[in-house]
Amino acid sequence: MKLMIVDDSKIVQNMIQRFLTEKNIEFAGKANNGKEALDIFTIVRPEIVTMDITMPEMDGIEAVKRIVAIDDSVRILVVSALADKATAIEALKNGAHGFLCKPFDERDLNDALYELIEDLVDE
Amino acid sequence: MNEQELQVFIDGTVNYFNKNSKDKAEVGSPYLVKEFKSNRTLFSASIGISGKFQGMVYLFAPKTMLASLLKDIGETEYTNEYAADLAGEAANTIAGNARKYFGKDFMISVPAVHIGDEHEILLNEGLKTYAVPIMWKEHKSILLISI
Repeated sequence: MKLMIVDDSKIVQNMIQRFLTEKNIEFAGKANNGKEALDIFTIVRPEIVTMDITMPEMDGIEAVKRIVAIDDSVRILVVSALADKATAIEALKNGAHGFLCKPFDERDLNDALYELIEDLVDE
Repeated sequence: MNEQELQVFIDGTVNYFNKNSKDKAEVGSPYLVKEFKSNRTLFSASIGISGKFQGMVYLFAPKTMLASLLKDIGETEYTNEYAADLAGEAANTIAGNARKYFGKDFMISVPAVHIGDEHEILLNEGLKTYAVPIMWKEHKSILLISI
């Protein structure tokens, strides 16, 4: 399964990519904002996307809406510092499948991705 | 801002270090400031707060501290670019986590990052600004909360 990372922090991009190295997930690209994510998504067509919310140019909620409009089978894990329930609910309503609050460690990310992958395999 | 609200930011700061390092951060007693000057040794990241609340959250940290935290999170590059990125991400996370308490009308901007030079931070005189010292390993940084 291919995964794309969307975050305006290179540190967070690198962290997620490092945590993926032991898993059966192929890193397929990274984007610095929602606009870049749309461009890369249409070319790479990953099955899984990790998506930050607070980003310049286009935020993560808008990017989730637009990506799901292109391909509603994609699994999107929102990874954000915005820790309120309303934000998580908004992300899920717009097509995300999971929400991981920053800061996170390797185990937190594993657990969240496992739920996404398990769901994908079950279908 | 009352004591309970200030504690939200303190808890967020401690949690940020605890998730990213085996070494725990300690927080000193917050104090009120009317002015704050950054200097050549500090990286700063600022987050604008808007919506129901108005103000700024700033994080000031020396490069040595940021480089050490970069190492703990698994980075192998300790450049100014990465140190600035980390300062911005830490400030963004601390401010963003505060929405768990303040709600979705506590809106935060993307971080603006300033790399080490001497400059005075223009604080809003109509707001109380608290400085929170953060000690981690042998390093010290300051979180300024002006809301």
